[in-house]
Amino acid sequence: MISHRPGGAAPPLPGGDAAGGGGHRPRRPGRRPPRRAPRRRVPLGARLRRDWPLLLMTAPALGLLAVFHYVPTAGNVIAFQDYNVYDGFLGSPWVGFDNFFWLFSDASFWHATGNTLLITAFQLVFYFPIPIGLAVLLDSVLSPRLRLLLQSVVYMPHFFSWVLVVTLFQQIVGGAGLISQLLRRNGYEALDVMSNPDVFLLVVTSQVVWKDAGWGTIIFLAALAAINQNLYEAAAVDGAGRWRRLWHITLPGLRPVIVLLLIMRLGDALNVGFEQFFLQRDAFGADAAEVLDTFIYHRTLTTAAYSYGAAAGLVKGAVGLALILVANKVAHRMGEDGIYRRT
Amino acid sequence: MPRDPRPRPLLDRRRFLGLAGAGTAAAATGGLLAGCAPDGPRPGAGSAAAADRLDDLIPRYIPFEGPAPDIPGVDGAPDAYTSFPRMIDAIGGPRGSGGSYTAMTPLWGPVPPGLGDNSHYDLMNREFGTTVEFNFQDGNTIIDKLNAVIAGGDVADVTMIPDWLVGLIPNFDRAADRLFADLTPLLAGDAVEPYPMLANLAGDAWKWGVFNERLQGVPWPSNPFAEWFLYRADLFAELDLPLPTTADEFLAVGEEINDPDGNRWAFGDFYRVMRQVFGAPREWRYAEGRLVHQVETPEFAASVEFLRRVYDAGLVHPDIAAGGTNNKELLNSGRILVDQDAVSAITEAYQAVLADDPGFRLALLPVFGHDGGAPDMHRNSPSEHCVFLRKDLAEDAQRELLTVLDYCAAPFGTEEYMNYRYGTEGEHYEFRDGAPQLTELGQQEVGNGYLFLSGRPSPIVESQYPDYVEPRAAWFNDAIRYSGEDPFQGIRIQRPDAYASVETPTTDKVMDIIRGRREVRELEDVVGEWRRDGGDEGRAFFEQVLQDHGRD
Repeated sequence: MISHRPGGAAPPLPGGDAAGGGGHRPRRPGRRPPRRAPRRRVPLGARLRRDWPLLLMTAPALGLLAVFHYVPTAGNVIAFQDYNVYDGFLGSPWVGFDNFFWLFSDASFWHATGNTLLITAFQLVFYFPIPIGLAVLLDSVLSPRLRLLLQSVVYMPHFFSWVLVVTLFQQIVGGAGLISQLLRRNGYEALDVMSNPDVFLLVVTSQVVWKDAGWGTIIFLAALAAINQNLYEAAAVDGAGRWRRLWHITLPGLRPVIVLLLIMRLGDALNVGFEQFFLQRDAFGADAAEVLDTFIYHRTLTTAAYSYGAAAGLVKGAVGLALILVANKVAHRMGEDGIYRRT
Repeated sequence: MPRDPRPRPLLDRRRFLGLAGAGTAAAATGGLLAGCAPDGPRPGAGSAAAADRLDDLIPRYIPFEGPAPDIPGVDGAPDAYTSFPRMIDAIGGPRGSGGSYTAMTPLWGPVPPGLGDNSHYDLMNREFGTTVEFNFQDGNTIIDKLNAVIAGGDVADVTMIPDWLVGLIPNFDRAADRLFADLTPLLAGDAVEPYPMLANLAGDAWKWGVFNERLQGVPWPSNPFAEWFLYRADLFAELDLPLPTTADEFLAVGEEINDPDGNRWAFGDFYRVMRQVFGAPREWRYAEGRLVHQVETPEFAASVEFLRRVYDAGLVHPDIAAGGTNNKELLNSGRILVDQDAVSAITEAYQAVLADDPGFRLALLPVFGHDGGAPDMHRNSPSEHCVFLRKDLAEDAQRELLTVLDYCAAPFGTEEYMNYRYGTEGEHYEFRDGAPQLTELGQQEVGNGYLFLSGRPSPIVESQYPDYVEPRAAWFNDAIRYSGEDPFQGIRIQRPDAYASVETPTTDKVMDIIRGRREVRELEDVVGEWRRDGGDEGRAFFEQVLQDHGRD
């Protein structure tokens, strides 16, 4: 992944590879790592005897996963039923794919899906790069105390609830907010951004940037810390300026993490969060602000159409899984590790 | 400090659904897959309980002779008392046989200390001769808990369910049948005689407690009207503003109040009240053999158009226009002067503000129609909550619990009422300004739990507030004359799914029009989509209900 490394002959640099984390093997672009020689099989019994303390340690986590994730997953069967709470899973009538047909012929479902994808796409371009830039900037701050202060300040909003964030925006840029009142008092038109569907994308993205961009830097900062400092020195000796070093050392060093997060974000394309949109749906109108999660909530939970909601949730999950698989495949094609690799 | 006995969920059902909903149809994508939709209607047909066959199922009405009201309510308007009368003992000694029962009710506000640490509970259990242990649920999230309880079938001995939740629980009839006792043999007709306070509840309210052709719920009789305009009477007087009697005057007054530079706007939101001013029906209007839904009426269209004018004129506070729910604060702090809220919200505001601002006055705007004529005042359902007993209780236990419910149905003017509402005088409350005020102990220990074990008539009694009882009584007695016709009055209806789920998208689109995100002329399309997506299905269902009840 250190694609700038000349040829294939150079030995791995000392001090770990550029990606950090230790999980990524340096290799040449576009080529798979060499297959390891097949290890001798250790019999199951022997492995159990050897590994039982480790297995025991994973048991609680596995138990939690099973009880709170795998078992409830079976509840998805209600997507194929006309479910009601009185008859339960066992007694509710089966309706095959009816719920899915209803869903796919529901214009509001497509509308919400469209909105969701639009928001994802917009935020991919206008939100996703921001934590990277911010991390690079933070990383360039030399004074450790100042850096700590800055980091704390940018992390802070992550811990605010959406209710608070939305209220804060309302109080500052809303029609009766700080800026509007200031403008009015000086004879100008007041701002109208918190209820104007035309700027909805901008408003929600600014909220996400304000709230989460700082938090998003953490993983990039870790990756930055793992870049071998010798590379910078060597480049500087060779006469590379600040921008060249950024382009040829820093960004390639971050690339695996960026790709990883990008894939995860793509898999999450149909998830843009619930609260933020639920809270502002009334202000901007359903035309702009209805996303899949709010659709499912309003259309099915408040009218107790659970089967319909389960069908919508299942479609969402299936699409997310497909997107992850495809994005991972594409990453492999491009010579990246992606989020997993079959070994 | 008497609290308003009727708790307000942060979002009532209508508002909740109003907030909610699915997005607007992008018709092109919708048609795409319509071809592969399965045959037949979507599941979720509605149901209706018969109103006219109910007379045999409900208790005989035996009015309780309490203290005479100072201002009697006419035609179902609440009575009013301008001072606290001498309380009378309505029941006598304890009637329980020492049983011990659990009760699940919602509670808005802090949970009082539990049984054993609470002298108010001790007092009440002595009064009952029965021990009642409460299991309170936060009123704002009770729907989550209730769904689980009903799915699991694990109910308390006494369960109170707010009426707006009964509508949200699908096939509630089945839940009632499976979980809750049939009270018909214990209460219907003359059988109610051992429970004189329950016999004092209105028949219409009792009919609301009938499920599966059986009397199952003890009702909570409601006030006839839920919402209206509240206005800041003190600021109106200060600004020397006239009270509007037509829609145009209303707009003119708004223009006069509005002063954004001074951080004051005229209005909050009044979407649901304005259509009453314009005379749109509550839900359906029956004329010439056909049901016409509210959204289809010209009155509704006129109210939408008018509201758009209000928004275009910039008279609505920007926070509210942005979907904010801080209307109470805005009204209390005078940043808006007129708002739509629950009629009971005035007492809440007085409790919160009057101590700091003795000049604060909030009042109900006199009832008016858009052209100076009659509005269509939408009546509440006759009952707001239902109280159920567990099904597999022995009959003795049911009878014992009914004495508890009977006690808690004792109306204003009885010692029993003072006991369950305020506790012991001198210990939990004392009289100040002629009205009971909870002491420190009372504030800690007296919760609203007993209020939820049964309903009772709720007269206007808050005589400790200035300019309160008389104007309010006069308002109700005036407003009751404009009660709208509801062809389904008294019929409890479980609405079909398609019809119920089209409500939210429609509200969304109407909101888009009112708030300037769509053109007023698009209302016709909106109504067309409403008909297509469930409205017509609903009409067919409701017309069938009319036929079944012989009201067509």
